[in-house]
Amino acid sequence: MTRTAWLNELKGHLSFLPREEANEAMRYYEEYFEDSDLSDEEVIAQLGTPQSVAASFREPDAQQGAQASPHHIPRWPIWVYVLIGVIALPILAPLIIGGAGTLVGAMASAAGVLIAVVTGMFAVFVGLLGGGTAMIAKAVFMMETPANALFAIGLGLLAIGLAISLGALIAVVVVKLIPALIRAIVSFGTKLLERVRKGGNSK
Amino acid sequence: MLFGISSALLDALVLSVASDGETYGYEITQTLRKSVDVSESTLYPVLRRLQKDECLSVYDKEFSGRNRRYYALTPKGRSQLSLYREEWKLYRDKVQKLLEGGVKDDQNSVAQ
Repeated sequence: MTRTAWLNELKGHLSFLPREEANEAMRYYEEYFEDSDLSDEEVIAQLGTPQSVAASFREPDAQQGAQASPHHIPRWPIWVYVLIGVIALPILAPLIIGGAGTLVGAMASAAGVLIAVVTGMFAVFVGLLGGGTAMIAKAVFMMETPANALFAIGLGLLAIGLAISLGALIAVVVVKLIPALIRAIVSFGTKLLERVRKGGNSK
Repeated sequence: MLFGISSALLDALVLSVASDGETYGYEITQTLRKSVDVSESTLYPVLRRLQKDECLSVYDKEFSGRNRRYYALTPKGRSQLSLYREEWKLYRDKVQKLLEGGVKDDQNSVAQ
């Protein structure tokens, strides 16, 4: 390629620039040829193609001070993505809803079981406490025979004792176990989200 | 060149060449290329930008019966250059330290 041909091609590629900018650029490269003590071919070899030179005007990517390769990532027009979404929606939506529903259902039933168990324990607790107290009261106020009374009081105290242990157990479950369970679920969920986010960001 | 020249560093180098005295496009390129691996096509946009930022002034001077475009450092360019030189010293020292080792033992260094 001759100097003039190269310069003319460059001029064509710089057409996107405002007139004055393009002229300045042309002037620079014309002078470059003039000032160089190398032959025109050697200068052209140094400068590269007019296209690459023009490209350096668009994005001054002097990351390496090296030639910025026009790195075009093939991107689909938006309508392609929309089309894919529309087509996939009837298939994906039921799946996603179904999956989410199952998950919610499972969690709800697990919570339900937990509540039932605790409530049951509490009912037993109340029953024992009430029954035990009643026995003692009956023994004391109805003035049963001493043997009967002692027996009743003993049973009553036993019931109350059991109630207290059960009460303590319920307290532990409600105050410690359930919050710990909730915390574990939350942290698991957070970690999952983090991994998803990191997975998306890592390149 | 293994490590490459960042955009900012290239600016600094061009300003530094201009600080030695008025110069022209080809001369700048050749001076730089003696030491670092820069592409000629990247240089002009740098010159253009420095000119727009008023760090370089541009004018024509006669040379061998034709006009040659010269670039000279403006006062703004001069202060920008000192800034770059300071930054470079910090950067150079930090990188040096990391490469030569002994950073872990330095409890008192302030990370920036």
